[in-house]
Amino acid sequence: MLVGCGIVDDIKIKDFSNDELLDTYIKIGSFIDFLNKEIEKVDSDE
Amino acid sequence: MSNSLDSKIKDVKDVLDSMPRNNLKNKNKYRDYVLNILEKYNKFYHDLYLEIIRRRDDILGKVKDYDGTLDKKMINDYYKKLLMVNDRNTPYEKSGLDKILYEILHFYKDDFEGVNKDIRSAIEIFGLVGIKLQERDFCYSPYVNEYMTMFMKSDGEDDSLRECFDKLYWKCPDIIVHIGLNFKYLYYKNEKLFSKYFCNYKNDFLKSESLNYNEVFSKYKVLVNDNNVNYLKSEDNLIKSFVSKKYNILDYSKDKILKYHMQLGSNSGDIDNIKKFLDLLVEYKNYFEYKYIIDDIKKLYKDKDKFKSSFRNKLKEIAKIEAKIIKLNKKIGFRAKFNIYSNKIDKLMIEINSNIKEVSKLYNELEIDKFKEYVSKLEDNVSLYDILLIASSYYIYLRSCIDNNFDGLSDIEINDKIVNMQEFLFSSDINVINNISIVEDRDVSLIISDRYKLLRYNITKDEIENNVLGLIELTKKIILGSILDNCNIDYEDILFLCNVRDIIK
Repeated sequence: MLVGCGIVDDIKIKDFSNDELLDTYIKIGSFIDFLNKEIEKVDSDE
Repeated sequence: MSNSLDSKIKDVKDVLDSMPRNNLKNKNKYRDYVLNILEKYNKFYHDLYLEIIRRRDDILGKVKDYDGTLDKKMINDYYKKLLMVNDRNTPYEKSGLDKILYEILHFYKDDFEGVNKDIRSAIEIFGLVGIKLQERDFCYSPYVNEYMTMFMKSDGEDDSLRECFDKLYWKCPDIIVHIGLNFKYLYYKNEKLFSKYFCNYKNDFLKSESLNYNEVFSKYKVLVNDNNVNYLKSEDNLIKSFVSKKYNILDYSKDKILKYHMQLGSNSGDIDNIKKFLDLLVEYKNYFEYKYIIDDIKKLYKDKDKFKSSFRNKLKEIAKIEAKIIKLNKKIGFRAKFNIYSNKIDKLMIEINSNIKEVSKLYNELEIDKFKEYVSKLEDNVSLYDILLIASSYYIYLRSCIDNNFDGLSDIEINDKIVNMQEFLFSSDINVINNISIVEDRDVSLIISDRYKLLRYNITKDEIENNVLGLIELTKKIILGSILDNCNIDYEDILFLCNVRDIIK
């Protein structure tokens, strides 16, 4: 499975160490929260 | 990976910052861009989630499952049997009447249903030894008889019983105490039947086990210890203990375990000695905790000549007054039968109540006297461990001893103390206090520290006295660390499971 989707193309998730896997999961989760808030902000401005 | 991801996220944020949002068209463009990014990252997030779950399930798939339910039930049943064949007390304690009647006599003001449940249990205990109690057995007073007649007819919970109690309570506010005392009267009246039942029970049990009492006691200890070892060795339980945060996995890295060994002066090949050391620390902690009981019994033992026949003498005294009570009740019964109601009945009732009050006081003393008489028959070679076992066999004495040493404990707290003490006495490996007699004064902490100094442990008498809980904690960590070392699941696996639990709710 590629860490693809145009994000980081050269590493496979399966190659992550346990720590890397969980760290990445946390970071992506926070970033998704941030993106969702951005959409909320734009919607509320309208 | 972390850096490239951070920079990727930063790039996206920079792009977002640079995008204008000043009109509807730009805002829509901004939203479309964010949605596009979001879709990619959601997919990535889901893939990461699937990988985490796969790794978690891989680890859990390696775990050897262990179901201790049957073992626990078997051990509990064995423990109950052990209490019933106890060599150190009388059928009154073995049957559990001591505790039930104590509750009836002390807690009736709180809970009507609870009292009725205790009354039912007491009746069942008499039934167990073959005595079917009837209305006429409750002869302490006409009120006791009236209530118990209603009780026997009801299921112990219906409204008519409550109405009956309410009616009688105003005539005799001590009615529940009188019922409790009536049960005591019935026990001593039938003491021989109780003795016979428990004697037969013991013979049958020991025969079925082909062991003597000391051997079944030892067998129980082995069962408990084996179960504890199996429990800890069970990888399923081990994981649960860490994931539930009972233990902190970060305390069990190789570096930390090495540090603990250095602190103790032990080495990793020394686990058997460390386990023995833990047993001794637990023994010392409990010895110190129950020292007030040991001291109290030592004091009683010094005065043992005073108590040689105090119990039987008091019982005779009680029997005399109870005979008076029964006679007075008969007089009231006779008058009621022939409808001779007069002030005489009231006078007889006053006389009955005053006699019951006297009996109540004597019964309270009797329980402690029974214990004192038992202590008076001990010999100099009885060990400190034995005397704690004796104390734990007499609920009333133990309660009073705890009450005298701790202010304001609740009923639950006292009972917890008793249960903890019994658990220690019945399941721990004892090596020191079973070798110190009631007439000896030995320094338990010094005995332990000297033994382990010989093994080059960094242990002093002072440290055992001042930091026994810390040492117990330390040795437990070393032992758990060695269990972790020897199972299919390693430190990294458990650390991963603990982190996953924190991250994925």
